Amino acid sequence: MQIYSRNYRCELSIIEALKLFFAQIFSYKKYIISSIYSEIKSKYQKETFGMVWSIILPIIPMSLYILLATIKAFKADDNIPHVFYIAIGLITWLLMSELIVATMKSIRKNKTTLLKSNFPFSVIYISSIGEVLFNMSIRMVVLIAIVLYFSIDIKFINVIYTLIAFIPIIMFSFGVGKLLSIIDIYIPDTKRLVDMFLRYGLFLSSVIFPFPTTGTLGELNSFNIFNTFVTSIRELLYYGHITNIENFLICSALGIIIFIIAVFIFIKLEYKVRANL
Amino acid sequence: MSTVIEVKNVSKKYAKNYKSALALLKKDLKSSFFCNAKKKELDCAKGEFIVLNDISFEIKQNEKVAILGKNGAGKSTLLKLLFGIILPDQGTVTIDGIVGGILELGGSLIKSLSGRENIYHIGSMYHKSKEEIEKFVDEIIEFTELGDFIDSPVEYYSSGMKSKLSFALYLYMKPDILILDEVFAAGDKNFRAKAKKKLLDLINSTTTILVSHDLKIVQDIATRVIVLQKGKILFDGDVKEGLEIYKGLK
Repeated sequence: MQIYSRNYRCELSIIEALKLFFAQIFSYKKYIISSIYSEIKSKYQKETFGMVWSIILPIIPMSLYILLATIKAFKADDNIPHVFYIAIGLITWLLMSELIVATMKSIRKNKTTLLKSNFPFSVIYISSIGEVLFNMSIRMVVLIAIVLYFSIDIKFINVIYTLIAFIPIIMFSFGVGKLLSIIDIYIPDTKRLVDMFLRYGLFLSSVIFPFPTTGTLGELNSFNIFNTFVTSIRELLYYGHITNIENFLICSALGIIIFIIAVFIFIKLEYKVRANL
Repeated sequence: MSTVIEVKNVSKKYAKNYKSALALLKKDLKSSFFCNAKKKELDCAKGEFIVLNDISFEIKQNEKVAILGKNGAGKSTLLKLLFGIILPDQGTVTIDGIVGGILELGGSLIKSLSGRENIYHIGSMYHKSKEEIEKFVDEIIEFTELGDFIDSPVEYYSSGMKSKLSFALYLYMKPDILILDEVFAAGDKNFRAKAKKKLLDLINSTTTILVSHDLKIVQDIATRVIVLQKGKILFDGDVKEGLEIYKGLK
């Protein structure tokens, strides 16, 4: 029996909200798989090359910056091969930015379904990140090709460490996207501001060239969580360790906290947000 | 018979514009974290309007209730509350069972997927396994008369074909409480007759709440009528009497 009132879910604790979130995802796992498959399949269905685009398009930004790197358009980091530097930087950056944008837009994109059925928002969120993870795996294949082609020595254990380090990054981006999606419903300018921020962020986060670590800008950038994640993932994969491990651990903890807060707020606000769609 | 739906002193308000929507967000945030069970009065600030005002009723198992009212009476809001899509601002809605149904024909179909793929997709939404869905796929194809179109993307369907598919999909999902909002216009005359027969079979064993301006359908299906006017219950009772009151509404 379900009792709906103004105070519905009001007394839920953080643990109960997290349990509910994961229970909903588990309960709708078949739908999530079906949604991810249909999203990828249907996106380019009407075009001549069809599914081929879903493989080519995620590689485009990488290939563009790698081309610019090979003609030395950027000041490189002398210690790491620049093609590798850019490839892993972009993989991390695009994972974060695409996750934030996809999660943020998922509610508006699925407005009809959410207004016409009692379908949980959490499921919609998870379904929307499927394509981002698919894009990331395509880019990973390109990275493997770069490593093999340029004979870059990467230890297997580094790959394992890197994959583990991606977990708080995914949680951070998902959490930020989720919080932004709520704000976006009430303040429609949000997506424009996020878009603007991400365009600048690419050049401020050591994605394609090292950002100065000294001076006022350098000091300010030490608070840039995106910069910390991009630099740490790159170092972890290439060297097997992170120079500023404290900073990475703080940012990871922050990422996990943001995720938990986002889930907590959203589970509580879900029905009220739906009424304002 | 046991009560499956209880609506007790329910009120619902909405924001009229962007500014008041923002003000509502503040209130929503506050009420989501600081429960206020003692609050009895519904406050309606400037820029907000009340859609449902202190309504109460019960629906017993297997009852067929038609909700009637002119545009803006609060029918759609009431259905959303019963569906568990939105929360009341005052009062409680108690639901005992799985609510399913159709609030908009064609609304849940993914245009780029084929009809067949949509059947599996919607089925997974209702926690149906592939094996369970396979059992009624052929029946749906036959029922909707889609033929070879079932494997074409839904975007190439006519609006009638989409309505037929959507209608059939929800008929085969078999919820405990069925909510139908103006869904009786699907397809041509022959299909409507067939759909009505199929729907009546389902309705016989299910608690049903329907909204329709087609009074013939209300007469055929409903065992009780609730007439809403300006967010309040004007009448709750016998079908014949309810229809007369509805016809007399200005």
